[in-house]
Amino acid sequence: MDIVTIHNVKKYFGKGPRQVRAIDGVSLSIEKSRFTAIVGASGSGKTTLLNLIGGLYEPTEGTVIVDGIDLSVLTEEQLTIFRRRKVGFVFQDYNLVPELTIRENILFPLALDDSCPDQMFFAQIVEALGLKEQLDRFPYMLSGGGQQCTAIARALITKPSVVLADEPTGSFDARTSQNVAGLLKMTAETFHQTLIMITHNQELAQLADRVVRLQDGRVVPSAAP
Amino acid sequence: MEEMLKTLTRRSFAAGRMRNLTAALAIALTAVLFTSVTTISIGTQQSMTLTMQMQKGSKSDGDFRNMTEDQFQMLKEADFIESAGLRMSVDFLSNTKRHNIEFDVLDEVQAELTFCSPTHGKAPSAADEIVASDLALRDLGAEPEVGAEVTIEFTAHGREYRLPMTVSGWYEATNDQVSMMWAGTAFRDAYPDIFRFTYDRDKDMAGTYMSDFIAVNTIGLQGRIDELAVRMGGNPDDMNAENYLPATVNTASHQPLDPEIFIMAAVIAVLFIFCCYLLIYNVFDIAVMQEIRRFGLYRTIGMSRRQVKRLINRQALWLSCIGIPVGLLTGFFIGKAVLPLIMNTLSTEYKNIAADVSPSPAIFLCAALLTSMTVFLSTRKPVRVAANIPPIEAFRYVESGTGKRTSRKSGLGADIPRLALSNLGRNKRRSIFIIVSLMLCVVLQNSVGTAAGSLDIEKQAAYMIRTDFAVVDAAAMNGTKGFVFREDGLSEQTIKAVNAQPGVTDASPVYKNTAEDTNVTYDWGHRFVEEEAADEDSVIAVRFDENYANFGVGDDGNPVCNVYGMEESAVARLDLREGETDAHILYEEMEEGKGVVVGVNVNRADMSIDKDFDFIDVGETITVRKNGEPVMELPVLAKAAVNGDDQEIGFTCNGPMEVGGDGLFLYLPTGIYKELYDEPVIYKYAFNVEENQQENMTAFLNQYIENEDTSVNYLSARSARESAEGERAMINFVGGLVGVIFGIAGILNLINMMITTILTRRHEFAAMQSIGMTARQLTKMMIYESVYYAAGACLSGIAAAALLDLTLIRNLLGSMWHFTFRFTLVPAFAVSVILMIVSVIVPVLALRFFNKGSIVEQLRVAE
Amino acid sequence: MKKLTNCSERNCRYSRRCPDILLFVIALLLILLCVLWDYIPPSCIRIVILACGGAVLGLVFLWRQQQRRQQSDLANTVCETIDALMDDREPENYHPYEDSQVSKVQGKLLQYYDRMQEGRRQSEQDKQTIQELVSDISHQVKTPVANIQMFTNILQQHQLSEEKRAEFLATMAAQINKLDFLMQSLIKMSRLETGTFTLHMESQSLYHTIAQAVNSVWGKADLKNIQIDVECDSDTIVRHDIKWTAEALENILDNAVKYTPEGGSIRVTVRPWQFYTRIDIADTGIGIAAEHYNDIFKRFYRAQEVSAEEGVGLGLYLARGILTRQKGYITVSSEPGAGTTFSVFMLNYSS
Repeated sequence: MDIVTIHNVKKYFGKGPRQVRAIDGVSLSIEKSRFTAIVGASGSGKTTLLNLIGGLYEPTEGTVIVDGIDLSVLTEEQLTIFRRRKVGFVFQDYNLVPELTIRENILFPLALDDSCPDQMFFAQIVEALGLKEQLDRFPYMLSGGGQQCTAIARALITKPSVVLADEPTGSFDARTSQNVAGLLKMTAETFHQTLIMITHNQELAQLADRVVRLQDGRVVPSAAP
Repeated sequence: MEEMLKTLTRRSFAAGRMRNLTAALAIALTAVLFTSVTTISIGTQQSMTLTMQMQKGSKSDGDFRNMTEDQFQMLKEADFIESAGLRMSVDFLSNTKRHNIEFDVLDEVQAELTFCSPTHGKAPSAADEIVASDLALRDLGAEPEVGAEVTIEFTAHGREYRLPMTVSGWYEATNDQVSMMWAGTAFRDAYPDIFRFTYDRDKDMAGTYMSDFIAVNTIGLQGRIDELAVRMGGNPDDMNAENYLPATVNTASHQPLDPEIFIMAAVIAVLFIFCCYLLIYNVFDIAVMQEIRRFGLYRTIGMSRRQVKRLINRQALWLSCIGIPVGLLTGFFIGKAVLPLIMNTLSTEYKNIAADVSPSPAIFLCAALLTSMTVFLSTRKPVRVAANIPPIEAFRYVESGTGKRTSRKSGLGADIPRLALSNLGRNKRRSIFIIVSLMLCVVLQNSVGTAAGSLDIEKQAAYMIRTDFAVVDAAAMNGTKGFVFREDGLSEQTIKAVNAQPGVTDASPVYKNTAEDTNVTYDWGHRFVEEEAADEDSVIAVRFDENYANFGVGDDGNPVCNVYGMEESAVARLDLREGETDAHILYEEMEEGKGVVVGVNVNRADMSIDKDFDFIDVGETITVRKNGEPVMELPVLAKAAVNGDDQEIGFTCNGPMEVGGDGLFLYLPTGIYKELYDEPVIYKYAFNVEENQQENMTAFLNQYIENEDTSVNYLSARSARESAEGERAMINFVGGLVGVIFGIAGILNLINMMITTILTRRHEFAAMQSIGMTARQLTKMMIYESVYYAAGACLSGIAAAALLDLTLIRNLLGSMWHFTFRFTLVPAFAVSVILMIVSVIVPVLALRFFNKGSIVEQLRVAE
Repeated sequence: MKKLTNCSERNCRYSRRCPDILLFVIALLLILLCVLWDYIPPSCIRIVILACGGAVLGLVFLWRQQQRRQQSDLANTVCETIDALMDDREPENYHPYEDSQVSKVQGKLLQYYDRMQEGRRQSEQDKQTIQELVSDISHQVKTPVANIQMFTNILQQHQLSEEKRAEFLATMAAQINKLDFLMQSLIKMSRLETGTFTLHMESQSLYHTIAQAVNSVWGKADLKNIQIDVECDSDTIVRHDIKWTAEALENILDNAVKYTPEGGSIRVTVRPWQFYTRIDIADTGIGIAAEHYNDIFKRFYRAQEVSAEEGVGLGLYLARGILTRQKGYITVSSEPGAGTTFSVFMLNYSS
């Protein structure tokens, strides 16, 4: 069962001679509840691809289907709701809201949707990510790893269809990288989430069930698994 | 969501203290502006109304007269009347000396409405008790105290009365000419003879019921009271009818609204709203830009546009909740403080103005509403911008150049001024806003400066008085009275006292005819409209010509004119425009009875002779009649443009209006004047005083009018000048205040801009510093940037100011007679200098406070 | 947690009722007021108040009506959606991403439906896995069984010298041993694959577990003159299943010994981190090419260049499976020719 289907997607930026072909004809299917790593050199279009899946960019050409819905038919407002309910984002620089406590940060996407949180689920996530003791602290009081764990919890709390992680360990040393990536994988597995992670770290890519290699906006064909 | 929004707002509120402080300050400033202006305008309006009411002697909504008792009962029961007073007029007392005392029976409601409630003691209850003003009691030879005994004399229904009365209470007179003495209804019951109703037969007021009333609702009041009057069986229109029952709305309480004032107010309000719009818009725009990454994040994780809007709106609401009350209070007190100043200036033409304003909810409501509206309007755009930025763009937002920088060839090396210049275009709209708000400050200050500088004090003073001093009866200086009767003349004593002072030169008395000199008339063949309109209020019969110019007419139906008897020195001071202009020759010819000088009102705007009042040409002849017989033929030798001094004194001209009306000011030599008039009275004693004795004379006159003869008053050139200068001070103050507010708005914007620039470009700065730019050079660059803004604003401001000065301001001032347009750019340059200085200081401070941390740290911050 | 929840719950429950009652009270008060208040002289005010009261009441009534209609609309839509899902149909009036209550509830229902479908798919997939497993096993077992059959035939049918016989029997014994090993591995694998083994998670010192694993490969290492260094604090406590973890480590170590030439060394380093404890097993073996990092953990994968070595390609597959079951993971980094490092990450605690 494919949760994400990308068909011949192209995304160009700019016009004329200065046009940048960030994604140049990518077709890809991503299975449900699997962990997919997207690797590639910087400028290979990893982030653009992720943003296309997250409904943040509109493809220049081709279709992106997430959870059975073609994103191109959605309006801007519907895309917002789509992101809110179906996508969990984890960024390199955490992007927590500094004025909210860890608990509030985690529950923020639910609050946006006016939903009451699933207490059991919240407790499980918090427990799994080791945030139980930190809930009433503010982000700046936590280590980078702790902040990223909060971001992971925030991405998971809505039980999204797909969790998109853009270099979630990019700003960490090797050790914290392993820690955080391991937790990300572990929680995604525990809660049956589909995880798509961008990384340039070969070691981390090994955690994935599948590795997609990008080069100059195209998928590098790999030996059949 | 609500909970989370609340939390977010609350916490980010505490976090962005500096920014919020600026925003709250901007809102507070707006509120201050609106509150003070509202306070001042409402205060002015209230004070003017009160003054008018005091002059009119009633603060009611309207009044009915000539009613019978039954009609009065009907009035009291009418549904639109909230309360109606009872007044039964008796007569003016006949045993008074200077002060006129009207003796009436009133009830307490009426007393309250007509400003004669006792402030000491209580209302009369027994038949022999009265309430009167302090001046009235003094005039009757009693001290104003409860229990004092006075005797009153009056006539009613042809019978004379002389009654001893006891003072049960008294009040301070609001008018030194006339005041009310009143008894209670017990007096009416004790003397039923006085109060017989005979109006339908002999038009005697005694015995009629009058009533000042307060209406429930003043909309369409005139229609209702007319209808009521008819229903009572009265005739409200025909004053000759037997059942004449005048019923009028009190115009002092309900002044017709002047559309010009409305337009002025609207223009000012729009200007203020625009200024505050600029300020608040900028503050919010910058706040949104600073937070743009955050909004991008919110949008990315699923905050909808509406929610973003709600978040910012909520923040604006919070800021308003802080800013508005602070601004309201501050503004109210500023307005309260400024009000008397403004009223003082206005009072050159209105006396006895009571300037005060109470914290009425209308003021706060009005100002709060305007402020909220401004905040709402000015946050629309930033809110929309924040909500519409596509999530990922905002998320990766760095304020970038417009591509200009790459295309611009910057010279070899780091040319700092040029680098700074190329940074200006980064956010065009914001740059323009800042320049416009600073520019407005320059333009406004300059316009105000031009207005203040163009205020022609000499012109005003010269209009008010031609000599150094002029002594007149107090009535002549009272704008509502004027020199009308012989008793208003100056006594020999006063003239002697003045002459006894050292340094008096060119002294000359001026004679003038009065309303009692109706036996001398002038005929120059002017055509009048046949029917003789009787004006109840005037002391003399009046006729109109076809242009509705009114002429007081004498016993034989010819105009009495305003006739002055003058010495040669006084004639020499006249502004002779046509005919013989040599004062000496003219005076000699006049003394020989060969003619007369005719004075004509001037059009104050350009000081030319006013065509509307130019009834006769040089060379034409005026026939003078005394007791109906022609006694003299006086050809017009010259025509003079008359000013306030030539008519009466200062700005008052009520005396001439009452006597001769619009028609002909005639200036005769003293000799001829004395020949013509039986009882010539001196109305004014005008004289110059040597420079070194002026202080003495002022002191003497002040002392004299206070202690020796309170019925006398004086005007000096100096005090005329001072009152004109007061107006300049007010223009400077009010205009300066507005200019300063614009200035503060502009500077706040500049500060904000600098802070934002520093915050958003920290990374760039760090990069520059890392490749070798020193902190000094960085500061220099920022100073250049800031100075460019200020310079742009100043240059365009000066240009705009010059343009505005030469067009709008010149026309505006040209239409007001006491201004003589003088072009100036000094205020603009002065403000420019201040702005330039501030623009140098701001970036230095901003850099010091906001560009902290090591270069590496800063590089990381922006990553 | 409590605070926020309470607030939002209260909001959910009472915010809709509150203005209702409030408005009712206001309306009643207004009406009461005008009934009681005879003093107001102009009757118009009384009428206005009465009208206001009436208007408020009317509004409240309309509002309630509206509310009720919305509620029943919501209920109907939800029911329709459920009906559609029960019939495995796409719901007709599904508006996926609207900021509305209906859309939210529908979204959740569909998610639930998907989850159920997922379960069904999972069990199908399990079936498929077992089939694959059976075919794999039969494939693997085929060769040794065929060999044994062949040798048995030879032994039965031909008169062979004692010497030859002994040789064939030895070969047969080796094949049987291999079969046994294969069987053992297959059993483990099948239990792992179908999830039928139970882990006994205990917070225990890792030191002993590692010692156990090293002990079992000690003999083989000694034969090849390979030195094994272990760097581990005895007080490193990790929550794990001793037996299975030792098995996994043993597999990795066995692998290392196998592909390390004589005289090489193996180094085991244990470093406790914030969330994970990292066990590095570094050898000086032949190494693995980067493109095969993911392959080596696959079932029955044997690199071409090591086909000479005995083995079935299950060791690393099992090791990874065991660690994953314990919420740990394993990565590899290698430099061909210089050596390989397997990093095992064990979660320090477990929820």
